[in-house]
Amino acid sequence: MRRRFEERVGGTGRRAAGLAPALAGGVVVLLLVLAVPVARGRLFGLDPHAMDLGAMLLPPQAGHLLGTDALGRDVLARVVAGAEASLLPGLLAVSVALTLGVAAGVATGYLAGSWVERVVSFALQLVDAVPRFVLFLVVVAAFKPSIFAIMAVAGVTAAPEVASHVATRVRLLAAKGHVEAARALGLTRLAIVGRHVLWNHCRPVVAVQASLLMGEAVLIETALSYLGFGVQEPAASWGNMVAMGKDHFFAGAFHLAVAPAAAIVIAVIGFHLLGDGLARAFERRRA
Amino acid sequence: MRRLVGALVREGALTVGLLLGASLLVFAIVRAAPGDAALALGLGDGRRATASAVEEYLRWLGGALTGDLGVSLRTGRPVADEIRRVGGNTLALAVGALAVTVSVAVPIGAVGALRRGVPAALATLAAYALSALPAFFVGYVAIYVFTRKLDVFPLAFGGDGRMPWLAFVLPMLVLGVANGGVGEVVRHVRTALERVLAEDYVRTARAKGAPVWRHAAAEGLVLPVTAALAAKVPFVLGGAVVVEQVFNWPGLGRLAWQAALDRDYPVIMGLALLAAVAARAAALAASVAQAALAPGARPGTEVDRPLVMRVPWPRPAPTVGRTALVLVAAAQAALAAGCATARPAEAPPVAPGARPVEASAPPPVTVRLPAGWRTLGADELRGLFPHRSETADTLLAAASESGRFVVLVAADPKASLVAFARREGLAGLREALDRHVPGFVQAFRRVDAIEGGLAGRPALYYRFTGVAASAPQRGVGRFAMELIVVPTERVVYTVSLLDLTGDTRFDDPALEALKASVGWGPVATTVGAARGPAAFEGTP
Repeated sequence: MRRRFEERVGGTGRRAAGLAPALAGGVVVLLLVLAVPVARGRLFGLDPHAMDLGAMLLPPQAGHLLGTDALGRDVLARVVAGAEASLLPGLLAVSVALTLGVAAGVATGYLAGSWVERVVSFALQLVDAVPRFVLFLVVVAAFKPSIFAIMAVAGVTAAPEVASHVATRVRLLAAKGHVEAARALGLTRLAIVGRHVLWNHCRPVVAVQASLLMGEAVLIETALSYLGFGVQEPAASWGNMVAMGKDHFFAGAFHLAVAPAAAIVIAVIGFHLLGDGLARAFERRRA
Repeated sequence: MRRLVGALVREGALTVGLLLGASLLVFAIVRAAPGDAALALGLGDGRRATASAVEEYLRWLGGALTGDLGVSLRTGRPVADEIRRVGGNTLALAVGALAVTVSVAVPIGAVGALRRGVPAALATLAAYALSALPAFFVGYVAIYVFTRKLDVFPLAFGGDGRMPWLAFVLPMLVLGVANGGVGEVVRHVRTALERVLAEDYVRTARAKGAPVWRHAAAEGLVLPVTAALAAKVPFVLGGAVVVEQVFNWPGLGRLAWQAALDRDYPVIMGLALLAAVAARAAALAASVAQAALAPGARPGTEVDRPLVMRVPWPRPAPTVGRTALVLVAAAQAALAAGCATARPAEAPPVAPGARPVEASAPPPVTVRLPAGWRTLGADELRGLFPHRSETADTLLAAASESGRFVVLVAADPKASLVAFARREGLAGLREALDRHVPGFVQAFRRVDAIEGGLAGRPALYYRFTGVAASAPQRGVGRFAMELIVVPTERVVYTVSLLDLTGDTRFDDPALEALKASVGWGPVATTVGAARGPAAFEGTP
């Protein structure tokens, strides 16, 4: 679909349009990711859990570049450590979403018309039928609040989106000559789908979706932590930091909420830009 | 026409199937919960022994179809009544928010599709940045700016008498702008409009000199907007949970939150069902709109779904496709390596007298004490709360059970609010608090002292002052509270609670003034705490 559109509209200028965003996004994400070992290894002597009860709610200053929170903990250290809490569960959500989504996408795209397709697409619509956030609340009510359980559910709820993108591509590809040729050569269905459809032509879609989902996962973690169902104190996550910082927001201690909120925005936009850039890069290569 | 009816029938059948499936899904999750969910559902009453899951489900579903969703475990009132009581507030919020989303996103999307340049890029980027912000953060900033600083909007639900509808505006704005909807609608409108404007019939219209908009609007604007809005309804409902929390808005979102907190199964199941119905209704409406506006399109054909957001970057940049791939791969590798090699930091030096850490315990936490603080033992803890000795005992029991925590106790008896109140009287205490607390919920005062005295284990002691709200009754009272926080399982023990107003009244207009004076906001029940045994520095 997009390609046809590109061919119709796209001048060469549009195709060559900026890939710099991808670079920027990639760098941001890389920095975030590197923050994990830094925080875990405490390379810079930052301890996200150390409390200094004589130095509570300090504004940003030398020694505490982003100030301290209500327990005298260093905000910078917690923002850095929070990257881990925000990203690791996100990876879980993404893995679940991609696994289910790709499988379902192939089922609905390649086996179009069969009973398998009907069953799978009904299941996908079913997942979409219950609003995601409400589903989280049901799960939280039924089981102990755990960010990993929630992220697994988030992965399931994201699967339909992945599946629909994969299915669209698979459906387009199934009619292509090289697939027909593979079929004529007597390759097994698994080989055709796995190698000639998925591996060669669906990686872009999957990579882009993964990037977008990571950004979404960060926001889900944030919202749930705010409601008290996400990452639990004393573990630091951006979500529970903003949630805790909001208590002091009106007293003028802005840094407590603003620092982690800025981290969230940077991460989400970074992932989005990465997705955008990836899509452009793949499109360009195809062109 | 015939095809339209056919499409409607098909959609209707699908809807029935999906709603049945959704109800089964929700029921299955709750049924899988540990503990006796059936009892909690109010279906037990003696028949539990015989009722199978199927029977329970059918009974619940049958009730739901006739409008009987069971009885709330918390309030004891019918769930349907609870929903009816606050449903209107959420409906108003959601509809208003969708309107805000449309009126913000459509112009940005249209400009993005028509113009390429720095302003368009900036507007689009701004829309995405806004979508990337957590809704509650936007809410707090909005409250701070518009209510505290500018005093444009009244805050609490119901307002303070001047134009009560004004109180609706801020939550609607926040929910409309910050639920991720703006970015999504911008994306849809941009892509669809770009596509439509490139269509042959639009080109023909343009060549003829006919009004392009009349041709492009239905397919390029109305369709993508309805499709995006319908897709957004579930997210708006989710966002309502957060936004209602921020604004203390009595609606379905708060009801769901409370139900999740209390494991109020009948309420949360009823709400999930309602949300599924709402989302499905929106999807139905969107497909009807599509069938009516673009009869050429086959029903069920999705409107071109853009994969990612598109920022109209003003100038082309060099190709970095391979670089981007390498970066992603490097990021993945680094993350994997980081996870594989990262170890918790080594334990800080343990202060003399502190207990050695058990092997399974989490890493110890360093707590530095201000000068002059000292540690107290169990007897002294009991002595501190003579009027609530059971509390001290509870704490001690919890300490020995959980294996870790701190009780922080005042080194100076004067610092205890209870002692202070006994000495100075309630009026004196209130005066002192008014003097010290500039006025916000849970302003932290000093942590008065600290101790590893309970088996050498960490816990924290706080005093809070501020305003307490009781959501269901919408009551409010000013209080001072002493808390002992047990770090591990989100356990918070209220040690003493003084109601400084003396008479907590509910639904009292006078309270609106109080709420305004202290900055109204939800009262969190947890605070951070130490993890594991603490190593105290500075303990004499």
